[in-house]
Amino acid sequence: MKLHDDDADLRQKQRAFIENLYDKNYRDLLAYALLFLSEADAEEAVQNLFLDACRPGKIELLMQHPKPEAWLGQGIKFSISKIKRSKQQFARLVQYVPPYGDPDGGTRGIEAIADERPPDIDVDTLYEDLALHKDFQLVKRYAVDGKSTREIAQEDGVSLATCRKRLARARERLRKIMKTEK
Amino acid sequence: MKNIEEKEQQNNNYSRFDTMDTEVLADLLKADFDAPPTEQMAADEALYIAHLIAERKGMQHKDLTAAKEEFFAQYYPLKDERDVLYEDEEKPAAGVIKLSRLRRWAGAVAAMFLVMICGSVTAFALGYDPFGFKAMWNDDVFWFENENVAEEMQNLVLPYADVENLLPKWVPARYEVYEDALTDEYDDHIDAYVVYANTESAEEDILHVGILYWPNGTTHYYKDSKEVVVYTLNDTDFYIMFDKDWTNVVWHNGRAEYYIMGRITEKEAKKMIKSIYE
Repeated sequence: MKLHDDDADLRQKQRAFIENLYDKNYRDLLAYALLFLSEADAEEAVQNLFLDACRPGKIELLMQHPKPEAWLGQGIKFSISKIKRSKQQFARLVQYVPPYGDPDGGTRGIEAIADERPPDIDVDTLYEDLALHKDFQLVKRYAVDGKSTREIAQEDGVSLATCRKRLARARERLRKIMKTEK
Repeated sequence: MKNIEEKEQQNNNYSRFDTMDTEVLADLLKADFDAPPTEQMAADEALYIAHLIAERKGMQHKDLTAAKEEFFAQYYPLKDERDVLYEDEEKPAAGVIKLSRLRRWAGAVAAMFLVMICGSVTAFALGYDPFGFKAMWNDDVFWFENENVAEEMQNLVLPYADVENLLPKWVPARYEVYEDALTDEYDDHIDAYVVYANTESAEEDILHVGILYWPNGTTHYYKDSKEVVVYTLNDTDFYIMFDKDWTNVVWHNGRAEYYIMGRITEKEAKKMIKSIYE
């Protein structure tokens, strides 16, 4: 019983610490992130940063840190880079070069694929086999339409965790498709 | 009270930004973001500028209370879960980082160093530092072995590493900067380095000077059977090793691994080391 009380007390202290940091730094961190990201992504970068700060092992050390604000100031750069990199990575997956369909020889976003592909390519099979269209649409919303995972989660009525898992799974399936197509 | 005083002091220090044009300040932050870690401004300085810009532009941010509620309702519950979205499944496996860079400098640099997780090898050990990094080597490779160092502790101290003062300020005259301050950031490690090219050589001759921060990784450096030279300066052990005509210098400051790699002599290596403290 004592152990449970101690745990609860610790969690409460950690939460209070994060809340205090949040109150003091959220606005400046967001102002900084907005210089590099869209509003939705900038908000997500800051939320991700505080999430990282709360992770087991990190929070304990951060609470003992002489200047946790400086850690946040440095961390926001990593958080911004992480989102940028992730968006780029996903954007690459929703671009596709039709084998001999695009007269300009360029790449097209996913919405153009069905119309652009020549009739002798069996698009249906491709879609059916790997739920391509569904994954494409999810990835497109994240990487091309610039929505944050929180926005997508909200639109789809699922938790943030579910949304992120779906995106990660879609990424894997699309990667397999890309490898097959190559 | 102390916080207020600190804040006032900070504001006084950064008041020089107050008279600067908003666009200039924004450009300054963007340039700083892309700058190598050693040249970036202090975090609170960058945040001060961001605050100034937001104030001038009258940015209406999301309500703090709403943002905080959203954080605790949606993000906070993920703290114990694996970061599936941002952990790139296709990230280079342990050991690939150096090899991928080697591809960029194919040929000449290829013999410099190797990253891999070795099986058991008979190793010599020398030096033990309070941060728990033991220098180890055998006949073929050299590496720092991480002993009981808390990864999280390193994560925390990294931003405060005095990196600017921990890299050589002198390089042999035949080398000129070829690629200035590249930073490869991965989920589990960061590699920041400068590439110098020998301007007097018709063949590709590259000198690398860099910092590797990889809490759970081990970098193995190629070496030949020549004895590793331990050069101690300012309480830091610099390990100088050779691989035919290549020289690798590796040291640890308790936070990150530093390296110099190229076709330099032992004498030049020592001069570079001395220049760190000039």
